[in-house]
Amino acid sequence: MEIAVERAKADVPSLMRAEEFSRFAEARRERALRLAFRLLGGDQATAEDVVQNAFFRAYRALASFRGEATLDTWFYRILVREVQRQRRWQGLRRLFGGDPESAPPAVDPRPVADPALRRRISRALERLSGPQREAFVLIHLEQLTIAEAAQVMEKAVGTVKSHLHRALLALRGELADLHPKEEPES
Amino acid sequence: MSDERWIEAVRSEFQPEPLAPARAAELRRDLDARIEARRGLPRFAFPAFASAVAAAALYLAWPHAAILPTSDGTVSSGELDAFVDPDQLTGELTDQAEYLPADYQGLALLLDDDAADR
Repeated sequence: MEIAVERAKADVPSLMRAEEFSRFAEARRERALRLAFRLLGGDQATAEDVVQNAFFRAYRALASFRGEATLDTWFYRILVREVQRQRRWQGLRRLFGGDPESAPPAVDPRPVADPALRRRISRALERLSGPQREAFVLIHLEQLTIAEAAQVMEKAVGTVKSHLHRALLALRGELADLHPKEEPES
Repeated sequence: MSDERWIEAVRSEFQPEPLAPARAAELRRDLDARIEARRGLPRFAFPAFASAVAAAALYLAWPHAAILPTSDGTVSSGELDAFVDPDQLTGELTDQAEYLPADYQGLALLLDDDAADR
């Protein structure tokens, strides 16, 4: 971990070059998009915008990178904050924009997966509190360790465990009947 | 253990569509353009400008000459003279018969005949 952090600090000056940062971003775009999509309840277009904003914020903040975490953890922290900002903005728009429905965000209309199932998962995730959703998505869906998730969420490990426990209790009640798709036999 | 199945189902079902190559290229170009625009700005332009304005405001608001205490903490007569023109204050600095209100002046005379005790 220490070595990774030291390497991250050493990488920063080169990342300040636009082309290097572009490579950094492209290597992480897919995973960042998946994380934002899941935290935003399945809204792909908004997730793309949020990821783009997070990359730009990360570029602007590179000079202030203190090397307290790996570059990935640092970037995902920026991304999660950007998601939180977007959700607050969406909440305000729902509150003042005359949208009487407090429905979860629209699930992308182009999925190849089962749209009804996606909506069901999205609704279940939307019923969690923000920190519960972040803990569940980061640890169980993105498969970060609890310590990494705690760094990304800027919370204590014990707090993250507590959020995760509550998230699992809530989701188990709603999604426990789901089964992974069977791989077609060849 | 029993959670693994439904969590795996959520993991596999709840993910975005892969970005189309055209869309990925568009996002890459957009990010590059934003970074280039950012690099075009002189990095220290705003902080330098803000500091200059603050310094100018401070200079204008600050008294241009200050009484500097002497080494023992008192103010020398020379320093006072620089700020007080005795000629303008002659009326206040000379003895005045009306210095005490009449009632107090009478009382003082009763207590002590010496008018210089005022």
